[in-house]
Amino acid sequence: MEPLEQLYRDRYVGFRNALTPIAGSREAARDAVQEAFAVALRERRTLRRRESLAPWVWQIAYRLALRERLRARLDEVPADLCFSDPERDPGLADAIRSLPPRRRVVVFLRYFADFSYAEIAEALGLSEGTVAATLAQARAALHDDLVEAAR
Amino acid sequence: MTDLLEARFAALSDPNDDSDWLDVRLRARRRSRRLALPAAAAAAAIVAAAALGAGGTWLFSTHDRQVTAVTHVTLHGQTWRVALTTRSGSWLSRLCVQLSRPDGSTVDGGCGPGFSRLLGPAFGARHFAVGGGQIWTGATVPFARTIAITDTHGRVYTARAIPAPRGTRTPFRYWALALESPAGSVTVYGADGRVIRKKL
Repeated sequence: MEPLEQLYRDRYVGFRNALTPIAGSREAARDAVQEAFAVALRERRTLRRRESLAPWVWQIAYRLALRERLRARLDEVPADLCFSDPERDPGLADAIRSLPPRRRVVVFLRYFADFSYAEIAEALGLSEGTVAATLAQARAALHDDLVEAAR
Repeated sequence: MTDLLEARFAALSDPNDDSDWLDVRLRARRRSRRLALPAAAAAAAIVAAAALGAGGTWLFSTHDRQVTAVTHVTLHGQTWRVALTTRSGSWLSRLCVQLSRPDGSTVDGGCGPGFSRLLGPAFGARHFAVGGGQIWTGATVPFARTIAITDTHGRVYTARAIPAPRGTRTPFRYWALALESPAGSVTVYGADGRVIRKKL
């Protein structure tokens, strides 16, 4: 099995779940993941290092999902970005919404797609240190909001 | 706290695995074909044998002069059934379309007006808006070979116009295409690659 197919089989569900808030629906997220892997399959010879595979495919899927949702402004993270079923955990949904949109993407990549810090860094064009700091800030903010909500 | 967050996110995750690697491979192949086409179209030299386009396998059934041609097209990972029925009268012919959703329920496309067997139709095209995209299908004049549709994003989709099996009493060729966004123009090419008709 080639690495791309292996990645697909290992990470499809995580990619789809992380993209669902960004694409706006589970179906749109699925379509973005399928299309991204199709693009990656066609363009895989342009990739040099195998360890870059997951972030590379994520970047393709992310752009496709944003394009689907926003049409015009491709690089803008939706301001209302939240997981697709907020009523299942309203407290967490409110806490997520209190984070800056780009920080939410980092959280989704970590918790829905199970990306490592290195993969998040590569996918978003950040340093690993920045990812670690961003996640630490996000966790702290989520913690404060969740504790506050629980009172 | 980290563990609690992980648990709460895990509870929100959709564990349903609807992955489909075959669909990925088909999309990759379809995309290659789509990208390969504009140059050929610009040169007006589309070769019918290139086997480009959608609506892969066709199944024909016939009753006298009534022919039903069935194929499947895929749009956004979902497969739709397209059934075209033509009835070739002595003077007038008629085209009916039936589109079935992935869940098997039918969108009744209905029938178009009668048309002269001698004069048309160039495309015989009918289309349906489906999930942000469109499904196009039709029955063409016998000398048509390829249908090319350019969508509003400039992407070109093609389909071969497929003849019915020998002995079938129909002069038409059949085609179907799924587009990811609405069509901008439709062009039908003959066997020599020349444009028979273009519609914007």
